[in-house]
Amino acid sequence: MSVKIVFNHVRNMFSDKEEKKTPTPPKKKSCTSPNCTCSQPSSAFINLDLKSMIGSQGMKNTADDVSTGIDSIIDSYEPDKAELPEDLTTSCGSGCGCNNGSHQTQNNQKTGVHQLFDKKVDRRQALGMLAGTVGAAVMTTGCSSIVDPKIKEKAKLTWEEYFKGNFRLMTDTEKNNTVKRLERLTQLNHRFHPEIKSTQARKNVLYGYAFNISKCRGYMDCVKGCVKENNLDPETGMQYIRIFEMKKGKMSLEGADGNYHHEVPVEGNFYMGTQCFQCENPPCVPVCPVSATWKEPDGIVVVDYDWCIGCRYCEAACPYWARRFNWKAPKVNKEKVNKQQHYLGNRVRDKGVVEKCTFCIQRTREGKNPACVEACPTGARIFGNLLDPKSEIRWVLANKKVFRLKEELGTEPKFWYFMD
Amino acid sequence: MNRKLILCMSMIMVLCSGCHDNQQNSHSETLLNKVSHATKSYVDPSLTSEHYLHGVKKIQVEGYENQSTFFVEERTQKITQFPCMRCHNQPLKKMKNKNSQRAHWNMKLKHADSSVMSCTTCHDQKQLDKLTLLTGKQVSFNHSYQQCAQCHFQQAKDWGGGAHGKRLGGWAKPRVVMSCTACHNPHEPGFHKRWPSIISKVPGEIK
Amino acid sequence: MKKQNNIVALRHFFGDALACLTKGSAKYHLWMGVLTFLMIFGAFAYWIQLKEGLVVTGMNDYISWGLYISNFTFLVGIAAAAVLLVMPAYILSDVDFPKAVLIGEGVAVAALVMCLAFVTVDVGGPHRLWHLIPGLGYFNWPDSMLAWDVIVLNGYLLLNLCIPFYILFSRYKGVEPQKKLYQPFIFISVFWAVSIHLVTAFLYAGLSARPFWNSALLGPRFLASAFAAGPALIIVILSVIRSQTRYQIRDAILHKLALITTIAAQINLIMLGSELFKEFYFPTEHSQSAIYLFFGLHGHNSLVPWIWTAVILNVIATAVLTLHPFRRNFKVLVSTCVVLFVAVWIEKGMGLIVPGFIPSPLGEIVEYFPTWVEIGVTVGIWALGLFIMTALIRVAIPIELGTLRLSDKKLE
Repeated sequence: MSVKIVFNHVRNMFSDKEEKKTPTPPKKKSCTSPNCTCSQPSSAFINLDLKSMIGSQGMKNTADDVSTGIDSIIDSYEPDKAELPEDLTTSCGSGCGCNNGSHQTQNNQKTGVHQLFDKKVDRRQALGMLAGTVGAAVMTTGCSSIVDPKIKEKAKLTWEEYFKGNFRLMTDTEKNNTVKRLERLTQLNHRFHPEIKSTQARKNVLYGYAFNISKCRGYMDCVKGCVKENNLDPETGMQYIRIFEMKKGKMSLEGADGNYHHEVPVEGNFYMGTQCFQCENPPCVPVCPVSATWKEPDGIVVVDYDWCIGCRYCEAACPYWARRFNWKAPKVNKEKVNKQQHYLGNRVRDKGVVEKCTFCIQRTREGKNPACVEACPTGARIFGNLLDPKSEIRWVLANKKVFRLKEELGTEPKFWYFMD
Repeated sequence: MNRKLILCMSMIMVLCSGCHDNQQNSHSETLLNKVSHATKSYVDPSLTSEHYLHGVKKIQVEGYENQSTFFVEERTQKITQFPCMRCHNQPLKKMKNKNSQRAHWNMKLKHADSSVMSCTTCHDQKQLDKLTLLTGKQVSFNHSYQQCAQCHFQQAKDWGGGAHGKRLGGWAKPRVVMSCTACHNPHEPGFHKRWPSIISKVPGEIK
Repeated sequence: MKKQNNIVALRHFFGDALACLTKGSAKYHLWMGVLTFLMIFGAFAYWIQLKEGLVVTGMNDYISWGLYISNFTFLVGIAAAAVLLVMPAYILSDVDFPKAVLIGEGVAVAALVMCLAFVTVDVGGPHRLWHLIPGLGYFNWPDSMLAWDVIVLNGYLLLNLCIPFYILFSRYKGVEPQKKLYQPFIFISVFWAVSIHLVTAFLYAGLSARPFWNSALLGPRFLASAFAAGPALIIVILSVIRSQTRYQIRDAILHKLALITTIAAQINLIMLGSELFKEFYFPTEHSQSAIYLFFGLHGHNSLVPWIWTAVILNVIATAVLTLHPFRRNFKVLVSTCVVLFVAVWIEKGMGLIVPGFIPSPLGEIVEYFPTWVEIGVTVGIWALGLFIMTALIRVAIPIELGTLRLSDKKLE
């Protein structure tokens, strides 16, 4: 406990310092003279400036801020308040895949009862359906007169979610149903409406990442971008990316400092970032006893948060320390939360499940760069499609001397380091 | 007896290969082999990052003709007070002599040695709306990277390939990159020391 | 008719067993009362853990397995050791053993229940454990060693429940159990016992990320230490039974068990020596965990006194057991067995699991200290195990003695 307090203290002190420091240097740079025609206020500088401003605000918020007016605004922001629950109730529930939403792709003509007798329904689903019905029945008969309909709906959705299957084995309709349920549940539990995607991997795409050790200066803007994008709880301090300060003269991470608190870069040191390397031969995947984690066709190793039992065998199996466990329920700040989410990415996680970097699956599957790549001020991070012979990542592999961490383990990371 | 043994062995092998076949393959085929194999049948995934550019006006990069086309962000329209000739309507020497308010007073050149670089190494003395190359050729501000490439040819090569610099939009096409001056102040191109923007929390003692 | 008789007999069997469990001396009640209290305390601690999440334990992303998995690993060995009694008794037809065998199997059942309990309290989502059930969930077999472990542990539990139950139930009815019926299962359980421990060792040995565990010797060492600690525990229990009940356990059984324990402890020491040689003759980066464990690393040395205690106790116990006069003396034997048991518990529990995580794969050093919640849950589970073991033995002894029998009156 005392350690925690010390940490909070350090962080608060740090955030004070930070607030004072970051916004000033860019301001100095931008010209004050009206006659100036120099190239300073170029877009990137403005970008940097803005980013640091936003950043300092973020820091302030973590320290302690009270939100008042926004609460009511968010509350009123309930899109399809009438539409969504109706949609869910007309679907027969329990993920059997017979909703009448617009995403219908399969099982067009089947209704819930018909599908119950369909061969495709396995035991688990049948159990889920049965349980869902029983649960709903209990809820409606037992406490219909007393309980708020919202609580009833929440119980029903939670119940149905509990009995759903592994995401990888779901049909498209099932995926759409679970996404809708999750969106509604997030609305009910956390009072904001996320847009949860279930975009699948595209053909002809295999993601690759390169990290320029000569360029990284240890500013940790990437970490900050990652925390924000992936809705990581600053209180638990969970971070996917680690930046190590390394002494020149050796390459081993042994003795490297991943916990520095000083101005960077420091003379005589270089900086090396690690995160999930999305191994092509990931040691963390086969060890999972319930197959809650797997490698997607586009090379991203993902976790189904609702299927994970939290045994942490994958955490022990990862040679790059890339996996994280939710030791307690992460806090969701509905004002700051990133509402653009993916089922396999940054959506709200429960306590007791494992998560990891997904190369920002919610962004990259739409053609964007991961948040860390976008946030990096030095251009040390390069991302792209390994299968595209004209991509930047392929150029790096072809023209630079690259290496990977612990290559001897045969994990085949899709994350390369290189130097200028 | 012997036949039974052989039968038994082959049964075991069949049983094992049922699961181990895939793993064997993935071990023997390296990632790079797999990539080069898949590249042969590569079809563009038809994904665009155009809408993440938020209306950035793109200018096609010149001088990298032997590779696929890429773009930089339009620059001239973003410079406040452009065109420069609005003020610089007289030769520089005349303007300097005047006792008027000095413009660009805050400008310091911290780029290479003073014996190597001066204002006019880059800025055209006569046509201040343009930059000048070492040969005297005029270059638009939109293509300022050409100027940097004169000395920093290695960085320019990396930039053209994608190992240096940053992309706008996303990883998908079109490839729009930030020009050199988007990150490096040409008058002071180095990056500065500063505090990290976030700290990492390691439980227990701090190493 | 016969079937009906069996059902009636079964009902009486459980009725009599319950009666047997609830009656006893003040000492017995005190013992069970203390265990119940500890179990309730453990349940309370677990309730806190369920509510708050695993954050209330000393574990974190650096040390992702702690006290729970350490105890699990150790107890798998205890469960496996029961085979050492089963094998000579039923296959080699050793006349001395059958009496001890039921005790051994009772120990195995208790150890297995504890194993499963430790795994359950360790997972973050115990409510999602149904995902492991093949057919309903997705059982990742044969890829995951944990899936193998689930099969192996539950199978072994089933075997160890069924065999003694059949034997005891037959005796209860006054019928001699048919060897033909149970012997095949005994054979299976012999292989199974070895496999439960090897599979558990492979669980760790298969992780290339953790060089401390990624060793071919881990499996054999697990077996050796298990066959030392398991019989040692049984010796202690048999001595207690001998002093507390009328159940006759001959000296020969204890002598044979002591011999097994001694040999296993000696082999365990040899393996420890060869492991130490490999780690310290020319230490590489992969030896960091061992250096941390035995000498401390960069000022972090919380496990150093812990492991040296284990090593010293191990050496002393093995030396004492090796000397005939000491081993023959029952008082010395029992206390040495306790010492050996504790030594193996340290060495194979926290001494094996925790240093595997230090330093982290990225070279960072974070130490592990269990919290009171974790210790509370652990104590509770141990109490649960002892409770089950006491109960099983409590019922088994009168049946074996012949005092608890199905009377004909009851059937009529």
